[in-house]
Amino acid sequence: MKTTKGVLLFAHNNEEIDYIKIAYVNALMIKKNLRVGVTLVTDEGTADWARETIGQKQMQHAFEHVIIKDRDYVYQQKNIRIYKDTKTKITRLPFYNCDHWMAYDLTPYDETLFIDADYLIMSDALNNCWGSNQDIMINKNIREILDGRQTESPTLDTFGIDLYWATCIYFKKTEVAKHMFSLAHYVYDNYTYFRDLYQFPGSLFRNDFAFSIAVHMMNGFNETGLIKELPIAAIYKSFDHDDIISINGINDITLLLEKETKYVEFLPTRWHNIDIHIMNKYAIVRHADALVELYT
Amino acid sequence: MKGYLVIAQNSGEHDYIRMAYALALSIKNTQSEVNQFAIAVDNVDDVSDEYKKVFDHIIEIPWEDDAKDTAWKINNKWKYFYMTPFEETVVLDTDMIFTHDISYWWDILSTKDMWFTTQPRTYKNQTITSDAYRKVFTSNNLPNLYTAFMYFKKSKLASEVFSMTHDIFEDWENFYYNFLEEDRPKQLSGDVAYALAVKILDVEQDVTDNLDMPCFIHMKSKVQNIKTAIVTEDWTNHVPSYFTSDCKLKINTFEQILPFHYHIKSWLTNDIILKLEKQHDIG
Repeated sequence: MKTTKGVLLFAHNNEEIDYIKIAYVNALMIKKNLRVGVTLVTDEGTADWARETIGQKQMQHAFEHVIIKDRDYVYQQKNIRIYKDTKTKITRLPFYNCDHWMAYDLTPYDETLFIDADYLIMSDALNNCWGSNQDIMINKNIREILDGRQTESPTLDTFGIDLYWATCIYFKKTEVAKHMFSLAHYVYDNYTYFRDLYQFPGSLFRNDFAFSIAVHMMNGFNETGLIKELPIAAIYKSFDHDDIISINGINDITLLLEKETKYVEFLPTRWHNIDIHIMNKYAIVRHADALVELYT
Repeated sequence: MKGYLVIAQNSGEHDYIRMAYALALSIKNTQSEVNQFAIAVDNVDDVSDEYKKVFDHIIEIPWEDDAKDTAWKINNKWKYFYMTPFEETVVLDTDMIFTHDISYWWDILSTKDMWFTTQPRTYKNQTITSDAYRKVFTSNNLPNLYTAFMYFKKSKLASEVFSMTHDIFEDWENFYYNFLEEDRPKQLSGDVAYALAVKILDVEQDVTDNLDMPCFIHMKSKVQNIKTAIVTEDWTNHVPSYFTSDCKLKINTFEQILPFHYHIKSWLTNDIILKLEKQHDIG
């Protein structure tokens, strides 16, 4: 029997960040580079907005399935994070990310790449995942695109567990993967307890933390074991201080990276044929139309 | 016959016989195959009847007590070969406990005449890379040996290593002067003496390997692959530990599955000993 494979994206808009537009752009990039179908998980309000602003036909072209889930409006008002559009704009907005643990049940695929909408797929590197003998793969290996810039701590706490990035997770429909997502759900349900136990900072719910704890548990409360990393060099990430300044062509963009110096200094950087996590969501939205035109 | 051997000489500060008792209990509780335990002490009468129940062999340290004038009681560590009651022996430091069965190691250990730990782990089960307490090893290119978990069988090779180690213990200042060019320790160290013996005899390849075992969790705080600027010598200041009623151990959230060298003696509470006793059904 032929196994099905595809990419799963989640998108829930807030007042300013058009996540579904970002997901739409990325779906087109995924179809171009990975040549697999894309399924979107969203909520009714966000889906209505997409029908109005992107168009029904365009959405059907980008996504082979759109799954509508109820939105928890109470959670939304509690999980507030800072969004930055370079250093010129800093805003506190709701961050709706409480449903990622549902990915296992929601995916229509036997093999799924579950990726953040803003992890722009600019290569076919993730095609190496298909047919893996691993049930689930997730990375702790992350690389900042400007060498020397301080990245996030590699552990949740100085004395604690490794930080894994839920930016990109490969999984199959197996018991092992099911356990992993159910553990992430358990962490979500008991987040305050786990925050105290694992001593990580802040009150914002982060899937990175929930999945890091799930991986730790799946590894028998150890650093290594059952759960392996993705067959890619690293997950590359930019900062929200950075900006996209031009779209040069297929899988080819130029970013303006802010250096970590005493005075504000920038470095223009050409980024080509490598997937990248863009932390400045506003920047993607600004260039969304150009990207849509290229990848359609 | 195979078994574990420790030296336990109480100093003014620490009750090593109590630590050996906890270690013996933990071995009895967890080891499915080899769980014979021998303790070497100054005087058999120093061991209480309560403790005697878990020691299979109580040995008086032979010849005179070489450590009688020192606070750090390591001067008898060359005598293991001569006092062990076993054909095959694993020497342990006394301030350790076992949480999981490592019986399968013995078949592998038996393939050599002598085998030292060379790659102990952090509490996160990462290989220790820091030489914070071992500058003398790196500066003088000594084999990176640890005697806290050391295997030997009654053999010619082991006899030679122990004999050379004896010579070094007897005249350690001269040996240090002649063979160590930098970072010479100011006092006798068991690990340095054994490493020097192995180096002088040129048998490092025979007594070490690259396998993941033998090894142990080494809780000296500055080798935990954590920025040492914020770490004090006492690891219990920084990470919590949980010793469960079924005698499983977590340090922070990390399950400890290897022999655990706790190093900070106050970590071994009466509560831990009670749990070990209960599991051994003598509580």
